[in-house]
Amino acid sequence: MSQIDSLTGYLQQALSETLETIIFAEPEAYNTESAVPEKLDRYIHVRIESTFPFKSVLHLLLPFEKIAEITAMSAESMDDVPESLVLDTVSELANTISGRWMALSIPGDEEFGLTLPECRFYENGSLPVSETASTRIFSFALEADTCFAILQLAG
Amino acid sequence: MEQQNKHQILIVDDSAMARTIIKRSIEICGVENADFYEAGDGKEAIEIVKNQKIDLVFTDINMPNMNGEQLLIRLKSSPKWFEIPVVVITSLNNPANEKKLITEHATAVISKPVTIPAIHEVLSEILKIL
Repeated sequence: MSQIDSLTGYLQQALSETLETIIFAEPEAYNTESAVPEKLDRYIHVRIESTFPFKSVLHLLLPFEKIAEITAMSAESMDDVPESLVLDTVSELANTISGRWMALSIPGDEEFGLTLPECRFYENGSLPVSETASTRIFSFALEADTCFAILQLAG
Repeated sequence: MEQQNKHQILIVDDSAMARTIIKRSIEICGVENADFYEAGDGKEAIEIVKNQKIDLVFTDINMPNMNGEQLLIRLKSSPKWFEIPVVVITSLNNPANEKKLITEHATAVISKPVTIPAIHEVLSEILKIL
């Protein structure tokens, strides 16, 4: 198995473990034949980089309304949650998923580095990610919503 | 109960959601008699520690301004604050990182995502000495 495919498998494991623990919803129907929609309507994009021992970029695309619902439940508030808090939730999820992913991906005695997550809300836009041989894209279902993950290995 | 008998717990994380999860986890573990303080990074945490008699710190590592490792080193380099137990809760955990943090006098290291059993195990040890 190639490194990128192996890393993709660990990423799916990290997604499952993290989302089940934090939001009590297990991702289902992983589909590696997916493509990112040309127009992203009300999605949050979060980008995080691994800096060592290997360089890569991880993108997650999560539906805004789904994350707003999760945030409201966590905050025990039925009121509309502010966009900043929804982005904070996505950032924390991405931070935890990527940390778990790196811990699964590399031997236990090696340190690893990750950048802070960068989040952006897409009302109706397209994601500027170009696909290469070292890119893997997959979708997964989070209850009734479709989410996407893009992994790009550098070098 | 009197103010001085309450645990003074500081939670440091740049994510408001993470702080909420950690606080709830501590409460679920039975620590109800506590005052909770929150900081978004190490610098804010230091300001709180200067002004409050904090007796337990939970901190994330990956934060802007002053990260959790820098906060740990700052607290443990001060005779005044050295005895404060510092629990590191991090998404950057592996055996190598944990060993490094323990060497830097972290009381315990917990991996994200936080689970109730992990918090309970750490608290049951720390609360014996507080």
